[in-house]
Amino acid sequence: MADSGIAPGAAGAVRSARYRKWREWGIAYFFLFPTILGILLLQVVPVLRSAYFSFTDFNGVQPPEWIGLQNYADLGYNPLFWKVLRNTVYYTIGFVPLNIALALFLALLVNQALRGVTLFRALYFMPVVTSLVAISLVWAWLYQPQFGLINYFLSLANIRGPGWLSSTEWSMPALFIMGAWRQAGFNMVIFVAGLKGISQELYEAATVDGAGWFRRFIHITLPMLSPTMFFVVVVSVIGSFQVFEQTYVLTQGGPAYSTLTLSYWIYQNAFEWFNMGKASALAYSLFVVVMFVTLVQFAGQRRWVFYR
Amino acid sequence: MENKREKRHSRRKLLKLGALGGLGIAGVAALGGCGETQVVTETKIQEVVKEVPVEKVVTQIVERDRPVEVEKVVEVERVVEKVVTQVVEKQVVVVQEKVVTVTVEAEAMTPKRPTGEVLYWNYMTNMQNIERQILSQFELNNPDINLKAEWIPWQQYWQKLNASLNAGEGAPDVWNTAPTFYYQYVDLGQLLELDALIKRDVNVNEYWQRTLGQWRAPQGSGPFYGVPRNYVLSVIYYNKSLLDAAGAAYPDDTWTTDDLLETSLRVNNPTGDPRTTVFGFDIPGKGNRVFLDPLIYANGGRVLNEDLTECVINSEVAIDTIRWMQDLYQVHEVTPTPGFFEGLGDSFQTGRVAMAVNGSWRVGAYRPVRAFGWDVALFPKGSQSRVTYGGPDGFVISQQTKNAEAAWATLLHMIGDDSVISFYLENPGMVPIKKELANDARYISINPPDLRVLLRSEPYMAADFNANYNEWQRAKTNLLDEVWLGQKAPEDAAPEVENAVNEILQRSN
Repeated sequence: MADSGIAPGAAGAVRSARYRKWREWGIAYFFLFPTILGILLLQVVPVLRSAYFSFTDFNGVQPPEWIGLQNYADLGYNPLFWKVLRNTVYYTIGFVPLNIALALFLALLVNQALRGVTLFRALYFMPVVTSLVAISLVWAWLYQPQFGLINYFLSLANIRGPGWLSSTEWSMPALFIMGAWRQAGFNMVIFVAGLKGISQELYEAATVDGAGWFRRFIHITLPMLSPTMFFVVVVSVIGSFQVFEQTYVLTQGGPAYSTLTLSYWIYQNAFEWFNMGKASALAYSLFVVVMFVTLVQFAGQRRWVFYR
Repeated sequence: MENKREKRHSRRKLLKLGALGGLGIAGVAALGGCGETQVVTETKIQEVVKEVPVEKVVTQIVERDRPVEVEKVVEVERVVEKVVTQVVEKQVVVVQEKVVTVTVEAEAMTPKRPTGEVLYWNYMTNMQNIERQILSQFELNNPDINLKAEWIPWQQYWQKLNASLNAGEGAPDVWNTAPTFYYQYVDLGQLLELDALIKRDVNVNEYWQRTLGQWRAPQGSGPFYGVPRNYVLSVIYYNKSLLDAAGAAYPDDTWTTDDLLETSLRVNNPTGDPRTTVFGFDIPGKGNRVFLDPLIYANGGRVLNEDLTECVINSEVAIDTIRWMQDLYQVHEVTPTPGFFEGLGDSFQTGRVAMAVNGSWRVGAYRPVRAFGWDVALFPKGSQSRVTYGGPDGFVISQQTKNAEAAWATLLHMIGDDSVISFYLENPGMVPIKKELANDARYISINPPDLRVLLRSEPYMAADFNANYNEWQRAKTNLLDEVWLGQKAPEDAAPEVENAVNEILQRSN
């Protein structure tokens, strides 16, 4: 009797615990629902739809027509696709190291306990939040081949500066130099946060051991900053593979395709020439490339990233 | 014939309609061209019955302030003609009201007084205020049309248009288009064919013929899917002060490309100092389509074949023309290389070049220039003929429209109403499609520039507009960039351009 008296009670407790758990889940999902709906409608559905479009002949207006892998095959055989891919990689290779070096340099500068240093932090961050159109206008003056400031400085060193934006060799460097300058402030802020997290004891111990600033930088700052560095590198690489604005505003992909990047080409195909299917295939090619590069970076992080 | 419906308007019904209020003078008078509603003081109705063998007769239900319903008739048996005499305060309007006892097929409807909703789109956001005024005049004239107008920036315009067309709702009934995009939408089957409406309502002889022909699809022969509002074309802009200083004559109608080069050389003064450098002749921006293409045609060559389906630029004539243009940059150095004035604003506007080729769409930008005198001249002749780049901007009607007649009425208003002159006065570089408007004293007297040059240029206008014009022009420009920079020979570039353009053209054919 005693057993049978306890058993229903225990079963009831289990049931009510399960009920409570479900209730909690229910409430949680109730509150999450708007977000989930938003993600589904605004991200998952478009992403899946564009995956479908990449297998179709679609102009954005009439119903898409299934053509299998034709879009991808066409891209593979199109020499321009490989040139655009090379351009994009070139931009990334030029942009990322330059941007990170500049950002780290600025971070080290503004990480000092000096009066008014926050003003400089704000100043260096300003290009990030300034309209690219305004920035491009100023840089177009700086790059002006005849009367621009950059070529003026070069002429002081007896170097005849190039037509930065109008030559096929220098247009891409012109874009990534401007891009690196513009984005430096953003990564600077992240580096500053990373620098703040490094324990002062390490520096003190090293100083006692007789290490100068350079050794402290190489043996303490860089290793301790490596998780931050890893994050910055990954995010910068992804961002630079998607570079669009610079080329859109300054060069429209010219001259002679020298600054045509994947994102801009996707835009042209989709919204200027209505080749939505081809544009979708291009977007997925970009996605695959970026994913591959990111995976390689994650695989390689064991060699140089130290988590404490 | 058995299933045909019999429709009869009795005298009583007619009187009833009349009693509803002045017997639809508004509607009837509008048909008769009298225009305004009048106060009726007396109404007499006589009835005359006739047997009239007419093939097409219409039945009209006329009410005051209501649309006139008109029905096309297939067969006529008996006609009752009522003569309604109305004594009005100011005048006597005699209205012949044909009331027909007939067998009717109910569906047809020409010319129905338009009603319903019309959505109008334009990308010329800077023209919003002027167009609003023009459209408000339309709303006054057409109280039965519920017009909604939106001005959307160019960057979002085509994207929004495609999305709404794809969704099947929310698309504009009438929208403004440039020629390049015009053919894209013809190709997509999104535009209403307008031949019947044009035939019914438009006297095409009043319009610029070359411009109209460009909006036949295919060019010159096919049906119309839009009506131009204006045309723009390329001309030679010249700086009078710089030409005077060099003692050079102004360009005129007799000029050939040789004269252009000769005068350019004479004025050219590339000192290297930003304050004094003057170039003879600039080819800014879209030089490949605005300057090179017409020159190839003027020299007897072609860029695309006659059907506009294949690129044929790899020809001796075209290559020679490309070389001639390359020499302007590289040999004579009368033309600044692309990017030379990058970041310094428009080279003509800032007085750094004596002459420049550009579209008449730049007129508006140059009008405020006070630092020097300037004007425009006809595009120079080539070795064979004179050709100038140009084309119409204008309006099209969506295939999806539910109110084609109302949309058509809107379109007609936007190109031909008296109130539209204000649009052209604001944009003198856009020449009115109606010759009468183009010759209107208010427009033609604008100076500078001499707008008569734009009118004289019209017969020479040509461009290879087709469905992927923007895409193949972009490819051509990218491949020719290296030629102008002196990095590639014309004979090497031409076959590359031909291949690249053909690849794009073949994809869509």
